[in-house]
Amino acid sequence: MTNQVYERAQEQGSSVLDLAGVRRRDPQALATLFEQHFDRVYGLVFRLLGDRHSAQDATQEVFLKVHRAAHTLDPSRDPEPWITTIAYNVCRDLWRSGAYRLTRQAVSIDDPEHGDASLTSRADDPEQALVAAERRGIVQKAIGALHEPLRAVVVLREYQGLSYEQIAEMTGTTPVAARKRYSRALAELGKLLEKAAI
Amino acid sequence: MSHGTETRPSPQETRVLEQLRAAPPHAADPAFRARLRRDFVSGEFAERPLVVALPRRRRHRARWVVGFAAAATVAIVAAALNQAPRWTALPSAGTGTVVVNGVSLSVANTSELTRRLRPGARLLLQSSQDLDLVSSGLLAMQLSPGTEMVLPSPPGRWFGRASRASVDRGLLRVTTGRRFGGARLAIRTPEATVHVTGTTLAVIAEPTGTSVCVLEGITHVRPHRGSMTRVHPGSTCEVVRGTATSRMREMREAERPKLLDLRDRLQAVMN
Repeated sequence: MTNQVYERAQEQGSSVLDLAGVRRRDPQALATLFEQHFDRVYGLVFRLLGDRHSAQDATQEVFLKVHRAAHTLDPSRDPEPWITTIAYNVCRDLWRSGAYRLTRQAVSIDDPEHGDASLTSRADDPEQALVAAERRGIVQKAIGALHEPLRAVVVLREYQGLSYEQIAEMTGTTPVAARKRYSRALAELGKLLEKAAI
Repeated sequence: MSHGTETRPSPQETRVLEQLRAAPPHAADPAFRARLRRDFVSGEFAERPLVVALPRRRRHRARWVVGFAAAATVAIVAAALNQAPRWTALPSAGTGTVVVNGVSLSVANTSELTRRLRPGARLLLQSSQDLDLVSSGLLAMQLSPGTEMVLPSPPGRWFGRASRASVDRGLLRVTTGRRFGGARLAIRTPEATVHVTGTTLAVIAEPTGTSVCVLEGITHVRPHRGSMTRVHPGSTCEVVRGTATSRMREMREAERPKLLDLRDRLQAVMN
């Protein structure tokens, strides 16, 4: 979402987020910010990290950092890119930690314990829920099998809707390199999904 | 958010994208969401499991351990490679014994003698002939009968290149090999210290004083209470017992052929 879109949304009242209140750490403003961004942050870190425990830890870390840095927020700009950058950096730090690699070796995303808590709940049609959970598991497994730079590009672009320029800025590369990574990621995903016969 | 400069995806890419987009989003555990919301609003975050931070300390510790192990390995390997060749006793035509640290050995038993020749060992030659000792490529020494001395450590390859010996009485001839370059050997007698940096010379410790005969190269002689004297090839430096001065003379004629023989014979053996 660009700033213009964000400003228009603000004007139209579709968002009642009070960024000045967030800067003051006003509880109501913080609650609104949380409600607006939690799902997006959680979805991003889950797709980047691949298991529920890591996603929860990372999400908590993201919101802790947001809370600590709330006073630096620019009230005239959409906070979403800022929060997305924090979330991506938290995941990147986690990737670089030896413990995460050990965890990745030990945890299978097929294991329901480490999967999404909602896979088997809140669905009207159990069969449909099962199919959706299976599809989600296969896609997530394929994304998780990608090399981390490729995974980041495909997740940031497909699920966060970022442009190559934004991805490049966030991941410290060039837009051309980001586009190449994206193409490579899709090619690898194609092979992985074909193997899984989705 | 806009996608900036776009290119149209290929059919294969489109198929993959459809599969990605068809996967439903992930929803968090409601209890986790509620707890985090409460923490975020209040600013009082519960203790975090911190999968990021704790193992980092472990990783740093592991790095230190690996670093120390690597450094220790390098040090051990370097020390092993730095070691100079051991002293070897060459067969002698004479009969008699060598007393090594109080243990008397036959000069004919060169293998046992070689085994006991360690840097710092005290030797006393009680034989009818000279005894040759060699550290391959570095140093060769010839002890005359009646000589009592302390054996030096051959200089190391890269470090530990200064060594010390002493001659209490008798005659020691020394010639240096091609790998001695840059090393130093100090030979102490009752009257003086002889500094060797690459030469062929004889150190004679007599009851009247010390004489140093230099065949080639430059040697420095310092009386224990005097100043350093430079000894040139073909010269003899004498330090009379009880004095602090040295005196230069022509080289002893008797020593020249023996030093030439030592140099030619042992240089061939050493190098």
